[in-house]
Amino acid sequence: MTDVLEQLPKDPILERRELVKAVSARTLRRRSLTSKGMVGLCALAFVLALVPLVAILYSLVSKGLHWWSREFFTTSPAVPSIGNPNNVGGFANAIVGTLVIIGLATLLAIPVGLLAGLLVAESDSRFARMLRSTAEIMTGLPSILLGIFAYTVLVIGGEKWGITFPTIGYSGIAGAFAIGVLMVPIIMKASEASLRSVPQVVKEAGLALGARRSVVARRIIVPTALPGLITSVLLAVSRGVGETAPLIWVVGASIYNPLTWNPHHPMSAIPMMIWLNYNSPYPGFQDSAWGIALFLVVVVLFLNLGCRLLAAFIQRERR
Amino acid sequence: MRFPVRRVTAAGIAVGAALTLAATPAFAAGDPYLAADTVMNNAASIAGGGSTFAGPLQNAAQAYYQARNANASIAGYQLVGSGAGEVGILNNTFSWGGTDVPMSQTDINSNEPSGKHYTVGQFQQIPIGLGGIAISYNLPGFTNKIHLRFNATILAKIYQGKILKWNDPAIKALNKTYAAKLPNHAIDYVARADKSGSTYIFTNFLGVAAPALWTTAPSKAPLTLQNSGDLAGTGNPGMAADIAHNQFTIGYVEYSYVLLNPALANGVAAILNKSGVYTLPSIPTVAADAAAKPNVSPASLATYSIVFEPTKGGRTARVQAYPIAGYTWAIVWQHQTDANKGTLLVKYLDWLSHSWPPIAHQIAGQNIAGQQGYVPLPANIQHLARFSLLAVRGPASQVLLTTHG
Amino acid sequence: MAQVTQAPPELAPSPDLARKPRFRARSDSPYWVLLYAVGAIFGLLIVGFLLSVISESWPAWQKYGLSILYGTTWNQSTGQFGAVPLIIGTIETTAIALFLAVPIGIGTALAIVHVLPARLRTVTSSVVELLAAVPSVVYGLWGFLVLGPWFATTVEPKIQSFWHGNFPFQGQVETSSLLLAGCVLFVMILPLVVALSRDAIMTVPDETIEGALSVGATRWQVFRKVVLPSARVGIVGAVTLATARALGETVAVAMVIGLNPNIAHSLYAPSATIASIIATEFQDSTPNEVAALCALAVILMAMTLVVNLLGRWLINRGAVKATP
Repeated sequence: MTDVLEQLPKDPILERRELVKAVSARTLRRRSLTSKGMVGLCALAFVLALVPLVAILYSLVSKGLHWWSREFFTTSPAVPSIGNPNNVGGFANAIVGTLVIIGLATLLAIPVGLLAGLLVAESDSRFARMLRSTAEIMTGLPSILLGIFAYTVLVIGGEKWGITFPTIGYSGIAGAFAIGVLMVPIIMKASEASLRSVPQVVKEAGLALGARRSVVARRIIVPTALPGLITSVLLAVSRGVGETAPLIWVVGASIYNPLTWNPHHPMSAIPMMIWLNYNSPYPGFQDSAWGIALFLVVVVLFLNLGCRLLAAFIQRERR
Repeated sequence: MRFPVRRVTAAGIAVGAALTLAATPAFAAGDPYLAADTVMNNAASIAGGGSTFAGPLQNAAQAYYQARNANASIAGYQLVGSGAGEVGILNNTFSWGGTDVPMSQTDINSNEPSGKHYTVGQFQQIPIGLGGIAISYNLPGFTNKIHLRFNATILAKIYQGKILKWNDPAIKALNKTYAAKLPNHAIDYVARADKSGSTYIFTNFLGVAAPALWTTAPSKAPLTLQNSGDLAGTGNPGMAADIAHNQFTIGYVEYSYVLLNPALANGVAAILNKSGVYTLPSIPTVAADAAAKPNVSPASLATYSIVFEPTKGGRTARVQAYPIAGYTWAIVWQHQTDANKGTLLVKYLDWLSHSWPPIAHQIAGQNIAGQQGYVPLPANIQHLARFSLLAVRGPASQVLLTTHG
Repeated sequence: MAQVTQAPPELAPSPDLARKPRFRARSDSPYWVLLYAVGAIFGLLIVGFLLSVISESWPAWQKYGLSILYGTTWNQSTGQFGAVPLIIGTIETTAIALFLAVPIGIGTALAIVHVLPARLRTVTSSVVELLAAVPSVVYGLWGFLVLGPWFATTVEPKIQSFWHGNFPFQGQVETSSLLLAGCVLFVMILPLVVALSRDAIMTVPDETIEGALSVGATRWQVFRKVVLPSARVGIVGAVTLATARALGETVAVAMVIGLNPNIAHSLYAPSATIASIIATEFQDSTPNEVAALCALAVILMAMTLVVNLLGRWLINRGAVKATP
């Protein structure tokens, strides 16, 4: 019987399978060693990635936490004098400045960003698609360019291209404009995503009941997507709070800007204080930059955590 | 000799007070302008910036002035350098531009916004401070007991890249006592990266005191870095920080930063002055330099430069002149378009440039100057400031500096 | 028996209806007008932005022409505005950052999704994503005060002796250098690369992976031949975004690069990037110099645009290839 089997033509698939098995068995050791090595490298990459990030957090906490005191947050910076060269004071003027600038920027960016996001989510016209790609590109643009925009249009202003722009000078308004324009594409993209994620069924149900598109949008889509919209605003705010580059020569920053709530005046901002103090010849001021940086990171992480919790809340609600 | 920080500063403040007293006989206890200076009837807000040479003075003075003048809102002085101060006043983003070098027509021509043509006569340049530029270095093993000696020739050669090492024979020849301590390391000099009035005063000094070597005219432009170890600092604070944080560096910083920063007290150089004496920067020595050339005006380099003046009384005078010193100025528009802002501006600058006699128990800007390391302005310079400010007019051509609010 | 010849009374048209319509359809156009108006406002902002940067730079293009693009000296005081050293500095810092961030980032993402225990996945991803939000000025502060001194005293001399002082690690070790700036940028874009790569890698269906494992592939072979090619689109998007961010980074780079607008002769020498030079030189510039800086800004915009378009093209190409 076996001699009959041996005389049959060789089955190519079987042969190939045998070949693969043989090669597999031969190379198994090499392949498994390579695999172990590379997977080990991936784990090493993970560790390498964590090291600098942990180091930054450690530096921030160890060098910055001891600066946190009631005085640090409620008084403005002090001028060094002969008996007291490291008399730092606090950075209350920067906290107020950030509140004013980011507050105004959010006021500008929310309506434009949300409504533009609604437009892009609702309509598929060429204009809407153009807006969407523009927003995507804008989120990747260097923020310093927006500083040039705000400087040209608001700080200097004057007669340009046939329009008379107001000359506001160095001011919180100019800074709010720069950060606002930065925030609009972010809000637009994120809100579009959450508006689109409203289930089609719900939208169609509204339309089937005879509501027109604007009512569907107002009564159904926006309330459903509301947590997502709030998330998008928080994301943009957390980005805006940390921005330094557009403000450098737009907001008239100086360490000793008096604490003011009037946006027409030059004001300081929290990241600007770090930028102004990082290379200070007075060791006290340079060291206080860590305290300010720790506060900034805590604020940004708080805002992002808020986003994350909201997103988890949406998930739970949807389920 | 240990650099007696406390004693020098106490002496400096005492001399400053004495100079203030000497500076004010013309203004009796009831100077009507000064009395009205901190009274503002209407709220106004101004913003200035420019020279970092005047930075500590402006910061201290503004804090004091605003605490006592409810209607005044003066934004933080922006430490952006004399060049930026001129650009700022010309494009109206600053109410006044701080500079260590009075603006000339050439400066206006290069800095004015395109399409505009301004002339020097449209501005008033007010002297508001008088200070010295210290040559500061950072060498390991050198404490504030040691002061290396330099002269203009060696400094010029360092900044031209001709003297490369700290233990160069020329430096050793001047500092025989410490020749052995000088390390065999490259000299990393620090220059200003931005357009700086301090660079101007420094290059002016080099050109006047070492004319054969330093042939270029004084300029605010950044100096070229010759070697790979040389650093460029932004602003006087940046220069001071670069020197304090890097070893084997040497640079020129305004004296106030050295006085207020213990980290820089370990390396203050004594510079050879025109009377042949190696002098340390301090309030009395800078005052002696200014006293040697009392008549100053912003018209031209010849009239506003006070570098390298011979000490009155020659080699044997007890207080020698420190050769690298200069006035710092505030540029304002002669014609102000906003009456309220213009009034606050002239009142503040008037208060800043004057000192109140101690009998009246009030403080004006130059009374604070001594605490920050500046020499209080001499009486005739305070006069010059007052007359220049009286020439500033409002929108209806009214004089803005008045005795009533 | 109902009367079927007449219409039921409730369906008969009421005499009132003919005269006074009880229901009038309201127009939807105010809604659309509002939306398109806001869209137009946004468009206007973008146009204004582009116009301001380009028109401010126009005098420089008129005066210096294309010499800005090929000149090799950038010196404000002598009026020489050649952007080549700055363009090269920008590309060099981004290249160093990508060279480090792409392998480590993708490796980390693979580790988070496939190597580490599943219960650690949410924690590590959250940590990485939160770190992506840290502002750049904080990275710059850390780079200037912690990483820089450590590099200058420990790391760089060791590398230099290991490399026998040859290019590119030759020359005097400085506190602010090209290498330091590249490393700070690497730390900045790493969380971004990890987060986006992780999203991409998680979309690879488990069945595909299990299928590959079932025919005897090792884990590394699965990663290399199955996971990464499937996640290619997302990873290319991640790298594109990271590159665009690195090209435009201003403050963190300005704090550690030494702001020397010359082509660095070694990794240990100070250099400058376009964004950092614009930020630091803008305020004390004469109107002529401001125009030159805006010309630099236009060049930077063009570079970012090219990177974005390149990324999109690569993604589209990959998508086309994937479809059978």
